[in-house]
Amino acid sequence: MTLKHPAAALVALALFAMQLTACGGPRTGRVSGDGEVVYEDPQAEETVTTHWGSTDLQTTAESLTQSLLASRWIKDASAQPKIRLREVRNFTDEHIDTKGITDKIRIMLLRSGLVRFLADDANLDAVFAERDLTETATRRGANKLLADTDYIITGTVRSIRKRTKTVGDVYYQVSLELTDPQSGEIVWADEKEIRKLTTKPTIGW
Amino acid sequence: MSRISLFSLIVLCVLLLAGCGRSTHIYADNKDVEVDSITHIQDGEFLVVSAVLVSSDNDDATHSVYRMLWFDADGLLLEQTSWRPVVVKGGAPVHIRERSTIPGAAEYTLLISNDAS
Amino acid sequence: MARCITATTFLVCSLFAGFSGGCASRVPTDEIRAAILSGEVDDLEKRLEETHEEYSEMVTALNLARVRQMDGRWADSARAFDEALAILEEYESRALVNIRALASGAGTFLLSRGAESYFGAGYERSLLHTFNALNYLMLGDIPGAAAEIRRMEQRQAFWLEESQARIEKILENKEKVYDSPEELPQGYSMREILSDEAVRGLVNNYQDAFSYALGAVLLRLAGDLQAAGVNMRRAMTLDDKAGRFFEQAWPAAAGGASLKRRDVPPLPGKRPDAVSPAGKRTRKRPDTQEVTIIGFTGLAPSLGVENVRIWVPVVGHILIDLPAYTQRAVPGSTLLASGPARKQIALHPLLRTDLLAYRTLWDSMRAEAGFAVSRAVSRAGIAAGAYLVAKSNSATRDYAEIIGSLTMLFLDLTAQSMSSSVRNWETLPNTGYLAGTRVPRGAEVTIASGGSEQRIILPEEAQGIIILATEMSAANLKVYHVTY
Repeated sequence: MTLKHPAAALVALALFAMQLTACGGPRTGRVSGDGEVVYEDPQAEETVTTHWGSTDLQTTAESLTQSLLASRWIKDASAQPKIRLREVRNFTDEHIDTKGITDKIRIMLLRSGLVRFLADDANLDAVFAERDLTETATRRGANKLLADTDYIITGTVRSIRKRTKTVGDVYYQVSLELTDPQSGEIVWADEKEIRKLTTKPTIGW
Repeated sequence: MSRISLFSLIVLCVLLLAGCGRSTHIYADNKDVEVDSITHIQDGEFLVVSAVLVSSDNDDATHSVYRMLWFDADGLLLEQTSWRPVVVKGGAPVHIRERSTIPGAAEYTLLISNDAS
Repeated sequence: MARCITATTFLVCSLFAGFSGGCASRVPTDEIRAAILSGEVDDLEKRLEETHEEYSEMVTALNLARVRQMDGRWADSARAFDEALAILEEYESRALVNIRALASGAGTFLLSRGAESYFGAGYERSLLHTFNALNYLMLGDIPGAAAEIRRMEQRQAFWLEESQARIEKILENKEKVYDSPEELPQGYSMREILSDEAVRGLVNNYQDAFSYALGAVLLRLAGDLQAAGVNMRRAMTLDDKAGRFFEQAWPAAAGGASLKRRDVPPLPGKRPDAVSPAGKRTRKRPDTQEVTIIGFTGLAPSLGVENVRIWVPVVGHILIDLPAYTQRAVPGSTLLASGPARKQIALHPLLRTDLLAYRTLWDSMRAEAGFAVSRAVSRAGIAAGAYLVAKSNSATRDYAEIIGSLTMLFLDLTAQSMSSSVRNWETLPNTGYLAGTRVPRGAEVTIASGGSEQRIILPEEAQGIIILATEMSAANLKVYHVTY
């Protein structure tokens, strides 16, 4: 059989290509294994346990960032303030990766366009320690480093955990501060509080 | 055009413009939580929304989640917050306040869901 | 009928083989001890991993975590501790009245002590976090170590709540306790140890000064001076030797307040939490460095089951199975530490897991004895029931005694094989030491035990060093360190 008409030849070629694709692999762009794995909304409320979770991280970072952006030191600044973000210190009994909180805050602040971030790998403690060792040599360098900074953001996470035979309650308090390194004055502070409750069933396996 | 027709046309245009306005809230499922009031202000390039939630259930606390969607002047999605837990007990009003963090927000939508999944 | 007896015997043997085969693959205590004392723990670790995969038990996860920690595998050890904690937390989240607890309770009351699942004694649950804190410390994760110390504190609070109901019953005389070990059965091997003043003199069976003193050290490093102070005072309340440790590690200036009213000193040269104004003159680096030494020697006692003969009214002499530390603690060799010019650094023994273990056993002895008697009586009752049933049947009347004896034998063998699952966290060290001092910058510190010795030269730029020394035997000393 020959294909005399060019259109027919094209159609045949297209059909042949489709058949090859059908044999070549999945057409839906998904490959799954034997288990029950599904993608979920990363921003959905997570209530798997009372431990620190994704919802706590997201709501805390978003809430505190909104508050900081509304403060007059950021909103009404004549020029974009230069900020260093220090660590949020963990005073709880959980292994909370506080860098997740600071990363999210940094991303949101940068997206706002209202602030400028300075590299925070020059940890202030290291700067001061270096100054302790060779005061005359590094003083000018270290002072210049700090003089370039308008504000420093620090924070803490604390928790209170209580438990009875049937009820478990945990309270988280995340606080953030904006400090002027030139004067040492804390110009802004805010906190986010979270409480989670879990109850045991009376009868079960 | 008669005066009544002109007046009706003006009223219709105003209503249409109001309908194209900014305050829309959607209940994702049942109506246990209601938005008693919702207002907004423009703070420079950012939008601030304040809403009051109440529950029609006077006996039990209603555990819900809500999120804000922020849109630019063209109606394109600018940012969306995570789902935030909120507990509304009976008629006691719960005030929520959200502020956009990306400049250019002109429209918003408040979503409320009572689905715990 | 001969076929019936043969069939019964075969059934009994098959069931016994089934039970014993399923329960016998846990690593025996002798093998665990031999491996640790020799310092060759790779094979032991593989066997513990296989056992843990098969049984998913908390006790195996704890032993695996400790063996990995002794070998310096901090991250792997932390993972095993997390698995043990997950098992414990799942147990704690079960319903108030749950089927598994009912089944376990019924088995413990009627059949064997081994029916009770292990979820750690109070002191073991607390030490889980203390030892996991060491993993985070050696990985350089001070906030992680501090979080584990806070978990240790929480765990103690939870254990107190769990024990509170029982303590109240005892105080109201609603639950009986032994007044002295003389009331224990005569043939019981634990009588003498449980009457030791060192055991009876402990404040309680779950708090130890070592965890709190270590907690004070780690929380100070994490910058939480207030919490460090609380831990310091708790440690001193539990043990006077803790006071000597803090005097050595953080000596007060002459004329300073007494130790109990003193605050924990911040790290030398460390800036306070608030940001200081730029350009302000700061202190020079100190000429000395901090040295903290954490030392472990020996092995904890191993829990098993001991058969003891007692006399019960009406019934007569019966054999009961009581928990006992059938393999006593390995005391270990003396650990020594010295600084420059071989000046000795005193090591303060603040942890004794054998005393905590014996005290835990003593506090639960009355209940254990009661359960043991009920188990023996129920086994005898079942065997008697089998005898009576066989006797009442004309076909089996002549073989009633054999059937009764075989039933008793089967029950005893089953109970015995289940008893092999009665274990504790036996890879804990027997003694834990702490020492703290200051040495000239760049000095040398020596740790020695038996015939082994290791020297560490402090890096000049560090503010301090924490040395972790584990004596596995006289010839086997493992020393690791981390600087800050």
